[in-house]
Amino acid sequence: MRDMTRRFLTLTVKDLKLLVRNHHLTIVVAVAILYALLVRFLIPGELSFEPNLVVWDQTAHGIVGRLYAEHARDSVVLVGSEKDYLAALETGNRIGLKVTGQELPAAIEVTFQGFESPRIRRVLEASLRAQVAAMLGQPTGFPTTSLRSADVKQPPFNLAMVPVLVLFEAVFLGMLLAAVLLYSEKEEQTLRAYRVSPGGIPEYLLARSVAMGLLGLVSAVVLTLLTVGAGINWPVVLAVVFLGSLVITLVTMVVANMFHGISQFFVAELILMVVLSLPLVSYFQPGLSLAPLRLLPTYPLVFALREAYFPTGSPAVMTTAVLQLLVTLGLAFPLAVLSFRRQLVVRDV
Amino acid sequence: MMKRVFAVTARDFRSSLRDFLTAWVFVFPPILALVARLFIPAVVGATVRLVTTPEVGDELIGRLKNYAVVEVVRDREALESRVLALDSSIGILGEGAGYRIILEGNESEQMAAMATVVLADALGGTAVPVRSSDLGRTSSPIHGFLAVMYALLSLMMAGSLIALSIVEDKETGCLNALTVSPLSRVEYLAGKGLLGFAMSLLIVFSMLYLMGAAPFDPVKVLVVTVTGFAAALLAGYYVGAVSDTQIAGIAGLKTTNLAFVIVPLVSLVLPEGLEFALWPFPTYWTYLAYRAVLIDGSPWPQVLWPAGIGLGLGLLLVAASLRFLHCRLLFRG
Repeated sequence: MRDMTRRFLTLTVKDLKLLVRNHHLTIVVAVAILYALLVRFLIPGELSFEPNLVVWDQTAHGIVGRLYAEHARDSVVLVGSEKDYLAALETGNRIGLKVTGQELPAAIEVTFQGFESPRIRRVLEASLRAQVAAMLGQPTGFPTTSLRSADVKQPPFNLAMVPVLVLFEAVFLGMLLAAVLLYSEKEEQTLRAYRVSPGGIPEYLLARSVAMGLLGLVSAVVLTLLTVGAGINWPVVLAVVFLGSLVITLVTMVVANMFHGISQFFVAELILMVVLSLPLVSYFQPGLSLAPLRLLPTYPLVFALREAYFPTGSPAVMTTAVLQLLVTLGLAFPLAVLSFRRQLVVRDV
Repeated sequence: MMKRVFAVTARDFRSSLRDFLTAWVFVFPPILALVARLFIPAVVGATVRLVTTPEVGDELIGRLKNYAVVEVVRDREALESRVLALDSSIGILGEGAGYRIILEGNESEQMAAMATVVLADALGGTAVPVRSSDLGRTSSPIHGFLAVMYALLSLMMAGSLIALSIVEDKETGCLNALTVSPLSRVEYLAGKGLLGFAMSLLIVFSMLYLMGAAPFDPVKVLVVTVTGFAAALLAGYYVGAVSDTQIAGIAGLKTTNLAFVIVPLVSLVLPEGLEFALWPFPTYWTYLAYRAVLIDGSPWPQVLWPAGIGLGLGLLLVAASLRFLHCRLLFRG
């Protein structure tokens, strides 16, 4: 066991030396600083949306139009003719609201772009009806219970991007790098030499994953300190980034082992990255929760990072993520060992 | 000269056939197009996710389903634990003659308001009749944006393949062997670029058609891809020139690829006054040109302007780098 640990540490140090010698540490830190600059100075804290509602009130007093102008000036374009109404709808992703009647609104016609799903249309229509009703003094409302403390605030948009950047930069770090190291070892026959040494495949894979995990931690720490600051749940951030990086590196090693060179693997890597990034759709569109997305290790990971950076009182989110990552690791590690044993030892490639 | 350029391209093509790289280039677009086709409807159609109990009645549950995905759980306890789950779900409970909305507490205001609006509307309720019509557009802005990103991704891929191919030539000693051939550096680089260009065209068009991008003018896409390829070429040559090993090459690609992915994403959220920060990047102009074709369906002048600036900037940077590339890609005997 002691020998095994020593071999594992030696391999980890070797991988780290290789990465540092090829300027990867410098680039990881430089990219993290670049991302931090983007978050702090270029990405705004609040998104400014273009007006998305075009209102043409044809009633005598234009009461709906006036109320919209008073209550939602920034999100509404008021027009006075059909020509202007259609012209305004041509721009961007807008919907139109045509109000007809004599003194008071008698009917509303909503003009959609055409690509909205039936559900979206019904929700938008409902929302418009509720807005008009509220303006006319008939507000809708129901008693509400909040299961967590009510003072939970949404983080500013720029800081909400930090978990996403950590996922891409720190967790996905090993995706291409681990494969390149593998191919260069295959090409230089280092792996063949390694096979006749007392070192086993588990130490080799673990050392590679840990080296990537450590580099990922450097990236996450630099990016976090320069953006969100030090006041976060560090144990969870570090654990999630490290475990996530381990999982991604092992998956990468399994996939990379099926190809003969980086040029071949490059395309597979892009597909792998797109698939593993899909949970971000749920991160930005909370109403979307598809079962296949929840199975991906990156799904709990990105939510756990958000909870660790911006707590909402849901520690279970972080526990679930760590557990799911451990389970995935438990599955990925033997799979990677098997795949390497089959490919490298049995087939000698 | 052209004969030698084509010879380099043909050699790389044969090598890519042997490595199944060409096969992957054919496989890549359908897979990404499939991802787009599967997910865009779900993303565009996503409203709010509601959880309720059977006691609110089948009729109301049926009506709520017209607006949102509705999950029915057995009792309040199950509803609360569902609301507390990782995704954003909002609970609706029957309470006496009325209803109560159960929130987790970390939802956006918009999401919570949407649940109220949906419940109120499902219960029936307005005196003002609403009719609806549409302008007949079938492609959402998300569709268009994804098409733009896929096109940029194709350029990025082409640049990366050029870089890796040059590095491979260095590692295998092929570059040294070329010293004794009549091939010049310009011909070598042109040959490398030609295959990358053909691949990027193939990927861009197959991806756009397979993902079902909105009707677009293929000539405009061709023009933007040709002009935008200057940036991919620059990235490929630079990384190929400075990297002696594939490990170093990946480090270089990590940096250059940011220009293809991060620049367009940042431009989405950047306040108007700060957009000048992206002007030096050729990829920013290529992004604008693709946007004009694939999202806005703009006329030629609005496509040619950004495409031209992108090409000009790209060529300027290539020209400024020629001396450096000459030194780094020295054919040594």
